[in-house]
Amino acid sequence: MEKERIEKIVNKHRNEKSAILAILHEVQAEDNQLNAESLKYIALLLGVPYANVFGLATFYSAFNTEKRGKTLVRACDGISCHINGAEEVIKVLKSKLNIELGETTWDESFGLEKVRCLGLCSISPNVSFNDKTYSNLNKEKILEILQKVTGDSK
Amino acid sequence: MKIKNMKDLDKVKEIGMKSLFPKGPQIRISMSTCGLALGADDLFQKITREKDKKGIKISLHQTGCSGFCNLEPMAIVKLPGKPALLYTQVTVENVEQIIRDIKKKKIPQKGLFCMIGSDSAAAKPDPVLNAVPDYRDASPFKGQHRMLLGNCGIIDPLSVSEYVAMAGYSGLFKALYQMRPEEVIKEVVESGLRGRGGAWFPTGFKWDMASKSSGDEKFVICNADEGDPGAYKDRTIMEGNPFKLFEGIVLAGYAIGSHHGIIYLREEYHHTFGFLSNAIEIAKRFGLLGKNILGSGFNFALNIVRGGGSYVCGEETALMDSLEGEVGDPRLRPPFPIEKGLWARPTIVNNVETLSNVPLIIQNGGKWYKNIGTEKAKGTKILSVIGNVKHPGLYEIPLGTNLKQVIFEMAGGPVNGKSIKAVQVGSPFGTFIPADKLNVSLDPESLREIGSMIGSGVIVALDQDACIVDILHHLLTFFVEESCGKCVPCREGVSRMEELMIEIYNGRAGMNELDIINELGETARDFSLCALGGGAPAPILNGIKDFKKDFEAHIKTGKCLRFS
Amino acid sequence: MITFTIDDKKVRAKEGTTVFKVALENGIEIPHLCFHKDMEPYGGCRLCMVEITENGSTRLHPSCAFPVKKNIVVKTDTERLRKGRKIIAELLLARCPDVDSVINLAESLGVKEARFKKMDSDCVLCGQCVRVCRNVAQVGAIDFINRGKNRYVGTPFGLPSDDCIGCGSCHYVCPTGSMNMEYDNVLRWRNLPGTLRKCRYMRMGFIPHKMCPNNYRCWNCELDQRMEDLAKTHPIFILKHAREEEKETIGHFEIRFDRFYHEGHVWMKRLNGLMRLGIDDFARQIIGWVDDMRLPSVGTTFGPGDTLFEIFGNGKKIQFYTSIAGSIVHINPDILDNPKLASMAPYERGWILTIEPLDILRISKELLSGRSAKEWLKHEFNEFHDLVRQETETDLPPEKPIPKGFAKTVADDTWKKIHKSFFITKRKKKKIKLHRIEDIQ
Repeated sequence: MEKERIEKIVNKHRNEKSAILAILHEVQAEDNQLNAESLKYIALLLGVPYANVFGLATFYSAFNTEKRGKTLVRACDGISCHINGAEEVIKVLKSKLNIELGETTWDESFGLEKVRCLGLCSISPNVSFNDKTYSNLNKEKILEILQKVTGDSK
Repeated sequence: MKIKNMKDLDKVKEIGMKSLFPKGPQIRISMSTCGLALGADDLFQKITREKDKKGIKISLHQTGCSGFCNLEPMAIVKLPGKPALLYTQVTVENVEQIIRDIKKKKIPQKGLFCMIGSDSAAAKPDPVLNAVPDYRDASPFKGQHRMLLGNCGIIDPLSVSEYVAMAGYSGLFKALYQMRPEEVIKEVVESGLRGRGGAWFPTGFKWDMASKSSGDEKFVICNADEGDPGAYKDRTIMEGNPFKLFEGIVLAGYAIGSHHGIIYLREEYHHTFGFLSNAIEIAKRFGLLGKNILGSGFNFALNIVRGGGSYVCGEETALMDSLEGEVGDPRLRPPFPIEKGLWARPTIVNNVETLSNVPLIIQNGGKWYKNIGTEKAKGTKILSVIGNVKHPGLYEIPLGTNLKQVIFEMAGGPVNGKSIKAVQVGSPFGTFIPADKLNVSLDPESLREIGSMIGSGVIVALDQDACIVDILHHLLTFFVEESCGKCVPCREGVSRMEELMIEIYNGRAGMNELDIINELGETARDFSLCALGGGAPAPILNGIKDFKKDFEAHIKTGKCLRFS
Repeated sequence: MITFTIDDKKVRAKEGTTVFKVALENGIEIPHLCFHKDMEPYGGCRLCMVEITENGSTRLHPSCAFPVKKNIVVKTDTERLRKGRKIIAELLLARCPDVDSVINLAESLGVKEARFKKMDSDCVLCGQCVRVCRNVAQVGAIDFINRGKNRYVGTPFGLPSDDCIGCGSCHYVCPTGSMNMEYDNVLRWRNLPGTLRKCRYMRMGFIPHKMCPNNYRCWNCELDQRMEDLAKTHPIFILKHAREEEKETIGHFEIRFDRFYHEGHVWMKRLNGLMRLGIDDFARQIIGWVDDMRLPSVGTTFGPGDTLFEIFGNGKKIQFYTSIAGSIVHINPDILDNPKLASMAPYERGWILTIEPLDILRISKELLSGRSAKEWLKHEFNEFHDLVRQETETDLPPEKPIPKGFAKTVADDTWKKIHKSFFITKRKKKKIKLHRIEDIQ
């Protein structure tokens, strides 16, 4: 990402170390990743060690130091989703997107992640595609949604 | 407008009453995370289009989640002179019929679930409604004591006036104008309120110590890092009635002498983040946050911070590390947060549900609050009943309600004529209670007696097809993934427990391994740094003890009961 | 001094010391791994847990961090502790089956063989290297990466670190011998061109200037060896104590050497092209506490000599001017919520403004730093005490901080004199528009 953009974001948070999570969120939202250059520059602007920023970005599961898919698929595997068959749904996602959890498709259009609870436990299982969440899923439904979404993105 | 005195407050209240009881027809649609997931936005658009097409005047409002996401999308239709009517699972296809009916001043029948406020003076009885139950008598709302959730799903969550019309901000007004901070604390102490995040620490006691702690600057942190899988009560409160939470936070600030509050929201709640940020701006515009709150001269700034997707950051010291921009490793105690918390300043960390109780306590008095619940545990608790029951959802019950009643009567019991095998109360750290021991009162003391806990109120019901080994394996994977990795018993011990559990799951290990899991569990429980490692072993140790059969099946045949 | 019981023995100790230390003084050695005497306790290995009975309830606490209290009863070696320590040792042994120190530790706790699948790590994640690098060497070249069982210590993306100064303290404190940053970096430096070949003691800040004449064969270097011999510990720990003393107090005023100062008692810190500023300890002590401010709005430009902001406290006012030209970029939002911060943490969270200087290169010429700042503050200290003596005919104790209510007790005339001689010595007539805090929000 261009340095000016990062500067703007860090400046918005007044170069405060305590706002680092917000800064990382915003940089990642724009760039879909937190690469070495971005992290190094954020560290410089905040006056903290680069290793510290990298440690943070790897500690929190919301951040990715590699390029993420354009559409981030987050499959919920909370206890309620588990009981109601999240495994099946995740299996379908894996096989249809042809990637494992934590991976990104070769054309960088989809990334697949597991999350623990999206907070929609009485309509489980749930999967979110970026900001849109789909609920009450089963094998057939997720297939249908995938078809729709992959059709849209092509 | 800024509310600066009682007159302003009354004026806002009047506006709110008008919007809650309008002269013309009104539709309210539930537009929180769950509603949106089930197509509430399409519904909203369709209604807007349809009413414009038909050319009738209908005021459209949004509401929050009522706790029963499986009934979404919900709509409330209010016709002049009729009680408000709640419709569930409204689809886009129903819309035309509904609008047509409203035009003819008829009551739409499809999806009609219950009435809200049928006893209000404005409502005239209607023969069509004879068979329709009231909100309070319709299952799954029946038997609940909805103090906190009462307005969720009914009022417009972003409307200050509607909240004020529901007696909102009367508690804060009273506190700022008529009570000293010590008196606020006294009321909270008297109420017997205890922390609803899972630790059940007496709230008034915590506030008292923080108020006596020296420090020119103090902090109020609202812990909205609702990480327990299965819990969504905090999201429901925040999306259904955010101003109640803000009122509670400001009250906490006033009580301990703090002028700075922070809501630490979990990362997964994308929609809630934008929503709450909006609500804060609105509250500022009304003079309910920021400088000179309600014209009293008291200042309180509230910020909202998004987490990074780490369960352990729900632990209060890890949460503070995270707020300071560090990795969320729990800190050593002492010093405790009430002495040296955020930025080494006295800090109180309270859960969303706890803080939402406070306005009610101040409004009605600690004595009133004390009457709800059991002898030792006061007030209500929002339970998140999930798993194999007919009506999964949020149930707000007075503490001391019987677990059996909650599972079988309120939540409707198991589905498809199956039987309940076990219930985990206080998931993920609570123990599994076998079906024959469900006759227990839901309060921390009674549950402790049988070795369980109420935690943050997640209740997982498992029916006869479930396998405990499978569930324990699932829980262990969760604990291992979310461990921060600072202390050995949790990082190494719990991950070894998971490793052995996988072996057992696949039938590659025997009773010997179960003993090792037991040993590891005891060490992790006693030696871990924080409640994650300390709490993780409880369901495992207890599950091994109480559900030997499931383990034997795995060990002997390598087969999971779940798929047999 | 307080008394308490440790393993059935009554002992006396100074309040605030840790149980671990008191136990050691009394000949009781508690097993430990992540503890280092020169660093803050970490509490990660959980080997040093002890049973502590306080007010009738017994709990386990890490002895390395638990401060002794009156009448507590400590047990360092019970059945429960032995059992737990054994499991922990077994877990560590399974993680690092080939590391001698772990094998020895396990053996001393009665563990010969681990019952788990063996891993082949050589790091126990005690975090000593991370802490020494960040807190003692003040470099932070390495950190924990990932979380939970995937956690490891390393550099970003596993690449050689540009921040590492090759001090070798990580290697020095590492109980398993897995850290080798020193050697890796020293090898990299051999490829540097002549002018950049700084001696690692120069990088650590021991000597002001020395290029390496030895092609970084530190293990054959006379200076290097002498340093270690003299210190009898890793030199970085000597430096730590030296640094603590150096966060110096001049008389009773604290001075920070990472800041610039100017004569109007404002500190400034460079921040990538910007400058952050706040009031210094001198101003803070004189005003006692800050309860209100007048600040310029964001975007305001100013020149040398302009009054930049005003603070109020104890019924008195201080004006602060600027000696450089620039414009206002940020106002500390926390200070708007709570002006007291300026008097509570003047050098950290109590900063006031961030400015963009017109000409950043002139700053080091215009401002005081290092030795010049020290001499200046010393001068101010003497002047101040002389002035107070003359005006009030009483002496303030020169070794103690000024009492918080001092400003209140001072007559207005005296205050004017103090203000004139220490704060707006060089002010020009021009004044930029300042606002009340309420108006800025």
